[in-house]
Amino acid sequence: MKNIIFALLAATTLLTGCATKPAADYTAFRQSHPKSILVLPPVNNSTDIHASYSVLSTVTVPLAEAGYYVFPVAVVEQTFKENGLQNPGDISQTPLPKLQQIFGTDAVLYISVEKYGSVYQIIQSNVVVTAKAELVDARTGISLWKGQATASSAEGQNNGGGLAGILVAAVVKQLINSVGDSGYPIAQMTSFRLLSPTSPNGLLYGPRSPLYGTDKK
Amino acid sequence: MKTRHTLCLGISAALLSGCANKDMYYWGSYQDQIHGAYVTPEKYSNDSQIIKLEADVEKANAANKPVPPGFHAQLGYLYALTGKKDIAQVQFELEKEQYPESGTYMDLLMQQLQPKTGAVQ
Repeated sequence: MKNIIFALLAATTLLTGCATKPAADYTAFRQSHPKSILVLPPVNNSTDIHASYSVLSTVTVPLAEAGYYVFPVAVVEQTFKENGLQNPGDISQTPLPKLQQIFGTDAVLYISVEKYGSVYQIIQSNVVVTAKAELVDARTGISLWKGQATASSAEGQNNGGGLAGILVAAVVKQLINSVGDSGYPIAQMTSFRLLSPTSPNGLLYGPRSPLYGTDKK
Repeated sequence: MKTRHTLCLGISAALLSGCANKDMYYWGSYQDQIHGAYVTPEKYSNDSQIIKLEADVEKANAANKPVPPGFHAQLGYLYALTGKKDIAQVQFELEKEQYPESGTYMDLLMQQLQPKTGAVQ
């Protein structure tokens, strides 16, 4: 009996998911009001060697358009290398005071790539990119925001092959041929979903955005 | 009708590729250059990246839009790699001027352009 109730509850939660899900708490984020974000090279938990740097290259657009100063990701990565930190795992261990001293940043964005690349299925293979991220106040170490997002080349294809699916498939096909990294266009979608203030659980608008302070979150 | 259709397609494509909100800055090839240099470095020499980014600066000016955060710093970094330290210095200054939030880091990068100063310890 207990199991049935539990299952019913779970089903209800799933069904009403979006409507009843408690909104993330943005209190600390508002109090911190960061102006600049230092993006550390993502830790790669997928099996694709391109995952970390592909995702790294796609986060500047949503963050900057959200209204933040974003440190130049490739130059930053080089600075870490010159200081003996070669991989994202080591870089993510750098103490916050050190990051503040070198970059003068207000906040630090830690990212991990959980899935990246082809997921083979019976008829076709889909390209999936899943990433998690956490924004931390560089001075206090307080967590300001956490999020997770996924995007897939199969989106839209399962409900009758709508326009969305056709367009994504076309973009993917084109980019596989041109850059040899099929995850890149999907990573752009993932990063946008993960970080953009237009996403339900994305970041707040930053000071450089005309929409700063207007968030309904 | 046809115009409308095209517009809808355009909007859908923009939403899908995550550039619906790409309106504050002129992005040009910035993101693709960074991605390409990581994934297929043999196709992205420093010089070819400089040429593309400099062309983006022109296009941004023509479009009357600012280049995004990090753009001038990236360009400065590429110039530094090709030994053009004077131009690198100018680019780091431009980044700092356009985005004062970058001041601490740009000062460090400019200091590293000087002889006999290595990486920060």
